Amino acid sequence: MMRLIWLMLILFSWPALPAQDLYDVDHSLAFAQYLYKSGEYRLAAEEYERVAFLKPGDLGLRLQLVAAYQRAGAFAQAQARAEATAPPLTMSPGLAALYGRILIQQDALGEARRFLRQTDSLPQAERLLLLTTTELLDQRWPQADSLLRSQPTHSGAPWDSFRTLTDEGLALKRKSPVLAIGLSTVVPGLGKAYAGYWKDGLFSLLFTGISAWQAYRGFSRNGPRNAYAWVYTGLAAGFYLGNLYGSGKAASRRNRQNQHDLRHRVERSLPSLF
Amino acid sequence: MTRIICTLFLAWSSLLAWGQSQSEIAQMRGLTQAPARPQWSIAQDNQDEFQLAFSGMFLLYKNFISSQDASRCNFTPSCSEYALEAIKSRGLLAGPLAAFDRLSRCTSVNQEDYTRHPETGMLYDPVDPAEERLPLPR
Repeated sequence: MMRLIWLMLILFSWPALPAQDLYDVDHSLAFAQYLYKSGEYRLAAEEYERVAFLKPGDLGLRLQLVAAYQRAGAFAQAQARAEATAPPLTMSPGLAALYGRILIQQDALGEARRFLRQTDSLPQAERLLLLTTTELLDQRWPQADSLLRSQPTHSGAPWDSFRTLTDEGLALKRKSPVLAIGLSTVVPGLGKAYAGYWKDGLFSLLFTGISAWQAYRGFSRNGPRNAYAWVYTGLAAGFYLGNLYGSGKAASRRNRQNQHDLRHRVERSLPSLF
Repeated sequence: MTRIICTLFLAWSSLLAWGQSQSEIAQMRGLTQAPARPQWSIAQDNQDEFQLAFSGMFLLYKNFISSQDASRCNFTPSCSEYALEAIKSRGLLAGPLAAFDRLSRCTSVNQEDYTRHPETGMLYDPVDPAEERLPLPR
């Protein structure tokens, strides 16, 4: 009798198990949203892919899919999914805002600029924010300045830091490699100090000065037939010419460093983007 | 019975000996044998006689002079590697100048101007500026 009861119980409960269908659209969507909220963006994107496959016409789902890829840092996939949803200029405001950010995050600044100038989907404030960000990241300070001047009412974060960075970018003076070489020709190491690397400049002066002094001492004590003096002459010439070469390089490096610093500060002023 | 126990013990212990992984064997070798000599790839693939001569001097320095003491250079690549790479990539005029410039910068007072190489922990200063990772603003 007990066996019969067990058998009946199993037979009745069996159809209930597959009837749950844990992989249907609603369950999958709920799981994808859970993953997204948990910060597991890559896994959420994979789950959203399956939901988007099951519900191909749902534009809201596509937007969430693109957002999950963007948050996961998979910008190329995010861009491809966004473009597969709609052509860039006909995107919905939400998707267009996301698409603009994705282009900026991929460092496709020219493409981002073109898109942001041409699109009508974005609200004016959002468009201006992304366009100014693009100009700042591309270090086009006059363009960023004119954009900021066109909207003087915007204040607070990130506008205030945008204005500060633009002012600094406009005031930034490039170091001239030619001038650095010229200065180091007169005083070894002065060109490096001019480029901001004063410790390197000091050591250039010391290396050149000490080897030149040794060469002078060798010649004055033992005359021109002295190997010691000639070795130090070679070293002094090497350090002097190397100092000229290094001064030009230091000025170029300082310019790159300044640009790098400003770019980093622009990125830091936009925590939602970077 | 004792024979059977001994045979089983030997069989079991020999299985353990075979059970050593390659990395365990390599670790044991490291205790008794000298480490593998570094291969200086920068000294290979010379395009002309000058490069061959400088590569020869580099190998002579690395094997007989530099190897007698611990590493003292502040940078990655080291000054000798930098010099050879600079001569090979920039020629006989700019290469030695870059090498002299590097020598005058190898002072450890300018650490804040460079990032550190992730593998060696030394200051990273490659010959090609495009490969350089500039430090973040302070």
